[in-house]
Amino acid sequence: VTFQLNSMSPTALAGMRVIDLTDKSCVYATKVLADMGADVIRIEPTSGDPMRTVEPLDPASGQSMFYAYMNANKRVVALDLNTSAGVEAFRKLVGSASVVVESAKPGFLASKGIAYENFASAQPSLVWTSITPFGSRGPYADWQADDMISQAMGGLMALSGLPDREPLRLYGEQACYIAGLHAASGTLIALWHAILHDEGQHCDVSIHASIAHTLENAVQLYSLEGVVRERQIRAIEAGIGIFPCTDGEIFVYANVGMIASSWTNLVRWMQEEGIPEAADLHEPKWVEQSWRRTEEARAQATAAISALTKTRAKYQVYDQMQQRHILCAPMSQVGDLFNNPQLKFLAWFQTQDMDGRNAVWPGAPFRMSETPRVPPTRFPAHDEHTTEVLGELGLRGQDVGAQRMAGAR
Amino acid sequence: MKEVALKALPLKGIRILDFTIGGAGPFATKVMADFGAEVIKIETNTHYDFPRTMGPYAKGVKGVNRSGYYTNRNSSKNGVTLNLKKKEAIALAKKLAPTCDIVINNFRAGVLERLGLGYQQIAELRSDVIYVSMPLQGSGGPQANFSGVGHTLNVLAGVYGLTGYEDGTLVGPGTNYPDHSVNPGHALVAIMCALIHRKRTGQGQYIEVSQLESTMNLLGPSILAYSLSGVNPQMEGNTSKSAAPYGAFACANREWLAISVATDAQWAALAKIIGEKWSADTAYAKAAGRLAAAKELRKQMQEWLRTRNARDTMKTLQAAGVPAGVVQTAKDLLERDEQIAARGDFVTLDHAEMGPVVYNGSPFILSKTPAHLRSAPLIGEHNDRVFGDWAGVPESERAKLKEAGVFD
Repeated sequence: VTFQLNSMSPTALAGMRVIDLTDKSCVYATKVLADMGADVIRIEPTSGDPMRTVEPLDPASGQSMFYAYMNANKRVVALDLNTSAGVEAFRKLVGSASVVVESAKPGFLASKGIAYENFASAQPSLVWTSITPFGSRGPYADWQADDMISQAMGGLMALSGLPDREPLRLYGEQACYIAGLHAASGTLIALWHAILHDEGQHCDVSIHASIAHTLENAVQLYSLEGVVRERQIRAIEAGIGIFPCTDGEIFVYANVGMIASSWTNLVRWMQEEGIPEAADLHEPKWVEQSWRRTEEARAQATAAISALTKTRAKYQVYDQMQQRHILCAPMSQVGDLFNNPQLKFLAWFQTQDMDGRNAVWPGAPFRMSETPRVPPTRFPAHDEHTTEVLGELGLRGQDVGAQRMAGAR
Repeated sequence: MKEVALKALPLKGIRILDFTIGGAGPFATKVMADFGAEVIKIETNTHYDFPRTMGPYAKGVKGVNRSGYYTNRNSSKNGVTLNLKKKEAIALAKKLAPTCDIVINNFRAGVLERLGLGYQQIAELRSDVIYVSMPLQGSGGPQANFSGVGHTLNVLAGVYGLTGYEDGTLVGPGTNYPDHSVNPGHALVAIMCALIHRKRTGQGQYIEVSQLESTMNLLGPSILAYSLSGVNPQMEGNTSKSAAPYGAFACANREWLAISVATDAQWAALAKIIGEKWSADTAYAKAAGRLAAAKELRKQMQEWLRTRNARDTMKTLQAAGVPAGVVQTAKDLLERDEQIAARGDFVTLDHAEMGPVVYNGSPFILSKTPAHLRSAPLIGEHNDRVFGDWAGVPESERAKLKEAGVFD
């Protein structure tokens, strides 16, 4: 491993070079490493990075905010891996790195002579992470997938949606975050081992298996009880649902299966308020799932809870329910998040200039007292760092120029 | 290769004092345990870790040692019982703490501090400790002591509001979604970075994984886009702005097949399989033509698939280079998915009370130091090992503590 173990470092992964050859299926892995201070060098095709067209786009500039979010604080080098000069530059880049994270189709890099096997003996402590839809080996290794197909095959899609309509994918490239986090975890565990023992290795991540790790209790429900879990309506049980407020809606989760005190606390409050529909909700049948799931029970509970919520503002009823230990949350669109008082207090959003406009970036996903994340500043332009990075590898200006002419650009 | 034997586990030598309960916290420490860390899972008989009482249960029979929700999140851990309401229990935790590299909890903000087990208090015992808190939404602020579970987090973070069909029918995720990979994943990344930093500098640190802040990053691009445009994103259902045909289609036997055609080559391969009518239609040869006719293509795909076998069609399409996948259930994953079987993504282990139990293995395979799962603990199973062998409390003393209810 190529960094100094005794250097004081302001970030956890300072001095650690990561070569990033990931696509939109898993790029969150290298985003997280860049956040932690790694020197992430993203390789993009000379024809441009397809990720720069991934939704959501900023309507004014046409730029991909997916690309911006995932690649802030990385450096970008444009290479054509179909040319020998591009391949040679890639070899030099890997030679300077502690970690490679790639999502190439299984076999593609081997066909160019630039797979893990081609570097392992010269760089014994190198950590090489491959992220593919189904894993590098096995009967489906060559199959293709995108976010929806990964959610479908991995078992997540079967759990969302209405019973009488089609299964529903979660919004916004969620497989990228799920697989990206498993990949970052595996990469860091392998890196830890490399730091301790100077032994690198291959980390083989299956997006498919990552999704199959995200199914709550579905695998156990079938393997232990023989029950196949399928999609169901959210308000399946009395006490669960979305209820009207004066200025929006509140989601109440007063079920009896998970944390039953929510329901008893809610009933007590409604009875204190003298809500007629709540008068008998303390009776024993109201803690029986079989009763709670009937249409009659759900209708009565909905009437009672709505009577409580409809005269109150969303954040008011949120505060009041939380003080009574009733699980709930205010319904939020993306725009509402900016008005969340807790996030304001935590100064979570981070405003930065983006081409003369104020862009607001999400805050860190976790906070570290000694090695906080590198704040997002800007995202790289196409080809932005090719000369700079290849120059750092000891190539003289004219060599870099030759590289660029011959294929690196 | 120095010191380490070929198959040694990479986190051997790391010890974790694990106060996490429920869903998200235990799934982070599970990974560390599976890769060799000594995880001391603190529980109590006075108030069970709630997955123990949620099921699903082995053969459907309730029991504190029979829940699959619990076992799956606690493989390879050392389970101990400690009634933290007793001062002797706090003393025992403080005796263990200096031997631990990491202390982690997901209680409400302030709970461990009041018990004398907060960061400052532990750091006095071990200055380089890595101390992790996973509160719902931060340890300070007007809502710091609010409670939540994955379902309410979905709502609070805006994920729920975007999970619905393209016609505007709101549904929400079917699970406590952020509990299962995302929040544990962020915690694990933070811990591994802290371990690396400690190795480089000798310095421990305090980590806070606010589950709200973690979950909101799942909408990171949408937050950034909204800040520039002021326009809320809309529910998309199973539609796409870049692929057509695209969607989940009903097939024979109540199965569903997801298909996503993003490139002209994929379209050509699909059209060849479906037949002349589509192959000949040059309006669809380029993406722009297909996207313009997305609704019509969706209708035609549905007609073509309605009576077809989903799994056979998936195999035919994938062999031809068309991305397609069955909407698999857990049963499908366990019994029909050849890739899951070949990779060994699920691991079956014998459990003293439950018999064979299926666990999620590691979605990443480390070639030289792969995960090694061991059975999840019975309640209090490792009290003797942890309090006797590790904390050095003699047996006679442990008997007295037990009598006093310290191990309840």
